[in-house]
Order: sequence, then C-alpha cells, then structure tokens
Amino acid sequence: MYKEIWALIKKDLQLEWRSGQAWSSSVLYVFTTAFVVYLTFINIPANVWNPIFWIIILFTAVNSVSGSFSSENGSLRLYYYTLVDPVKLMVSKVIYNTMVVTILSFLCYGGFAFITGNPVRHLGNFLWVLLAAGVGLSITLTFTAAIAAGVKRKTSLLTILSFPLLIPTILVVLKLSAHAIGLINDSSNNQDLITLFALDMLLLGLGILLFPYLWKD
Amino acid sequence: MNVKKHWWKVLGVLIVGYTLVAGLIVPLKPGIIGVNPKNAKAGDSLRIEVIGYNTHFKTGKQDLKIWLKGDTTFFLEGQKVSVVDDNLLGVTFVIPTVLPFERKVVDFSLLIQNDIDGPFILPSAIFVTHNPENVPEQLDGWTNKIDLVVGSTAMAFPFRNILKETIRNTYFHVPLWFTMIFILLGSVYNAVKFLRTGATIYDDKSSAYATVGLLFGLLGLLTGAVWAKNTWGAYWSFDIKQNMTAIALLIYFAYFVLRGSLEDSVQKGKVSAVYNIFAFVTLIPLLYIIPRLTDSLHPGSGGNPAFGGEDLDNTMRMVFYPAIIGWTLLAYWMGNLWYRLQTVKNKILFQ
Repeated sequence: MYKEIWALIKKDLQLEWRSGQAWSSSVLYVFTTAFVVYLTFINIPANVWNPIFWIIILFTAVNSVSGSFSSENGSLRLYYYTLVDPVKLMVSKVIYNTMVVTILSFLCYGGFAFITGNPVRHLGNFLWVLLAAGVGLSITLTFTAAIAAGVKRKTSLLTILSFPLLIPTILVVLKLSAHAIGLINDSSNNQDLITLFALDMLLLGLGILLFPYLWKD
Repeated sequence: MNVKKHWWKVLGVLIVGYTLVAGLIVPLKPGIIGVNPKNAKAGDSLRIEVIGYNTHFKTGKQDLKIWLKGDTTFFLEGQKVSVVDDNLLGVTFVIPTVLPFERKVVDFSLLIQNDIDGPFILPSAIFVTHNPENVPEQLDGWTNKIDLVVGSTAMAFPFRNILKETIRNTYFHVPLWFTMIFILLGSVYNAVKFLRTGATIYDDKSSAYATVGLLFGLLGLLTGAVWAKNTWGAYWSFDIKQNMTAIALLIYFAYFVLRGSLEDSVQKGKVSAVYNIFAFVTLIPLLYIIPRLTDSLHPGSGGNPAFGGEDLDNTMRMVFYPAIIGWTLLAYWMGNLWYRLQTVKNKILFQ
C-alpha cells in the first residue's frame, strides 16, 4: 500500500520536476506577492504582519493546489481509475500537496521575513503552526480541487468552494500564530493546536470517505 | 384528499399559528426599567423615581411595598411612597450611616411587590458609597426577613432588562436555526442515500432541502440582526457567531453555484452530494466549536450562560419547544413542495 502511494507521489514529483514551470511559477508567485505587499505597506506592524502573511499563504496554496487534478483528465483519468485505488490516489495527492504547500509556506515565511523583518518570537511554535496549516489547507484544497476538476472556470469555482471551508482552519491558525508572534498570551495554545490537528484529521477522514464517489464518475 | 396522510401539515400550521399568537400576545411580567438617581452616600435620605413596566403601582397601591436589598439577607424598607400612575412612583430610603458590608461601594437591588404583580426586582439598581471601616456590630434599620406575596398567576413571559419585549424573538430566531440544522441534516441524509443508490430522486430531494435550509438560515440571520440592533446596538456586531453564520451561508451558496456549473445530471448529483456532506460536517465546527473558542455576545459562549437555567423559564418553554417542532414540520413541507415543483419542471423540460 505504501509502495503504491509512494509511486504516485514520485510520479507527481517527477512530472513537476521535468516541467519545472509549475514549481518556479509558485515560488515566483510567493516572492512577488510578498514584495508587492511590502511595497504597499513598507513598515508592517506585527499585528498586521500576521493576517497578511496568512492571506498570502492562503492564495499561494489555492494557486498551487488548483491544478492538482488537471493532469488527470479524460482518458488518462480512466487509465488511472483502472490502475489505482481512489483512496490511495487521494492520500498521495494530499501528501504531495502538503509537501508543496508546506515548502512554499516556509519559503514565503523566509522571503517575507527577509523583506519586512521577522516579528516571530517563538520560532519552534511558529514552524509547527506552518506545518499544521499546510496540512489543513492542502487537505481541504485537494478535496475541493477534486470536486472542481470536471468544471469549466475551475479557478473561481475552487475559490468559492474552498474559502468558506478553510475559514475554521485559518481562524485557529491566526490565533496560534498570533501567540507565536507574541501578540497575545494564550494559555490554551496547545489545546488550540490539538483542535487544529483534530480538524485536519476530520477533513482528511471525510475526504478519504467521499473521494471514491467523486472519482467513479 | 387523504386527510390521514397529511395530518402533520395541519399540525405544523396549527403549531406555528399557536406560537405566533402566544409568542406575540402573552404579556411580559412586571419589571423595573430604571431608577433615578442611581448613586447615593451612606446617611443620605435618598428620594428616587422608579419607572416600571407592565406594573400596577396605582391599582395595587394598598399593599405596595418597596425594599432595597443588599446581598441576600439585608433589606431596607422604603418610606413616603407616592404613586404617580401604574408605571411611575417615588420613594424615599433613609440610608443608615453604617452599612453591614465590607466593600466601599455597595450595590443594592430594588425589590417591589404588591398583590397584583407579586414581587419583582431590578438588580444593582442603586450604588451606595460608605466608609467600610465602620462595619457595625448591630444593624439598625435593617430587616433580615420579609414576607413575599404571590402575585397574579396569569401566563406571562419573564422581564429581562436589556431584552424587554424582544425576548419574544426567542420563539422565532432560535427555532429558525434549529429548523435550518434539521432540514440541512435531511439534505445530507438524502445526499448519502443518493451516493449509495444513485437514484436521482434523492439528489432532487437533497437540493430541495438545501434550498429551504438556506432560506431558513437567511431568516435566522435576519431575525438575529434585528434582535442584535435592539439589544447590542447594531445589526452586525462582529459577533463570532454572526460571522460564522455568514460563512455557513456562503458555503451553501457555493453549493448552488457548483450545481449550476455542472451539466450532466449524474455528475451534478454526485459532486454536489459529496460537497453537501463535506459542507455539513464543516458547518459543525463553524457553528458550534469555533464560537466557543472566542468571546461572543451570544448566550452559551464566552462565559455567557447557555440555554437552560435562567434563560428559558417554563412559560417560555411552552412556546419555544412547540415552535421548533412547528417550523421543522413547515420546512419539511416546503422542501417537499419545492422538490415536487422541480420534478414537474424537469418533466416538462424533457418532454
């Protein structure tokens, strides 16, 4: 089972690596956005830095995950359908997207902190939050990307479908990262982190349960 | 028409009719809107004006009694009561120079009773400043025990100071939410059934129930906004539950956009059923978990009491619970009507 999932992830990685275009465009997207934000604000106080950073992450994640099912269309989709179990495909996509989103958000953090200054006080905490957010965002986005896969005007539909669903994750993440930045002193920090991971697991469980129905049609 | 088959529709209409009538006509219990002035010093002879609501000061003048109540055990009786009309009176309290409390500012509740209204109270009505060093050994001018009368036992809703008449919205705002959740649950149930069987009637039912659920959600939001305007001061108070509700409605709007953008009916059914289930499950953290993590003006979060104890008394329960059942039955009926309308439309289209 692990072998199959790993093979699927490797396939995605190799495809991306060979084209190279998607990766470089995502990285460039992150840095361009960060720089535009810096140019419009110049001096960013910590309480503004936090939401802006997460909005950049949100858009980056949507941008990079939106295409994750576009390569499997038409006959290729049918070919995959005969070849692999949908649950494994879903899990592999989630893992791959989590990797992409997490790497991009680390890059985004690095770039944004390099340009605008780094307000983060508890770095360890903040990195955990980045990871948990990456998992949460990519699970929901992978799932909604699968829903929107067969539709015309995919990107706008993906935004409409996924943003409201992402709000719980984003709200918990904002609170956690405000704690890591030192804006608020939150005694229930660990509890919130657990809530976030529990939310992630709930979404993942739902995704795994429902994805086979999407894949079959 | 087979009446036996449609009894629940009649029941729903009757119940909603009952809640509309009872919820709007039953009066509030007597209460005190305010007193003037609100502050005094120990030793003052304090003359205050009391404004009542639904009270019978004049009609029940013979046995009208007024006390200042400190903590639970100390009572100071008012003198020289002059009643202007049923809702306005003046009363004098001769406040002793020493008070039996150790804090510097003591808040007194105002307790009024007569044979018609029974006892009613305004908490923290008067604030008295005194010197807490002279806490006395003996208490002059204070009683520890008063005899409360039982007033009229006619059905009445409780009087709450901020809510006043808007307390009636409890029978509309809250049941509309309950109904939304129930009908969306019905929608999800049909979505699951569609995924299991593939029969399109379940998909049609699911979307019809979602439509009605969205309608009830909007109504709940509107009644809530009106209530918020009257009690919190603004239609939109940036309350976490209001925001989460707006998001929940966005999710269901997205559901209809998704349905609109798919053409093949089987694919439409499958994709929207999957999104429906996913959306409903994320609705639960949105409406019930996230609001509890932060402060909210709503009861039940941020330390405010939830339903139970003091928010709903027995007279309110007699309207509130039927309202939930009545609106749910009506919503179910509306959902079925909408479903049948869509089916007929589709039949005409495909002819």
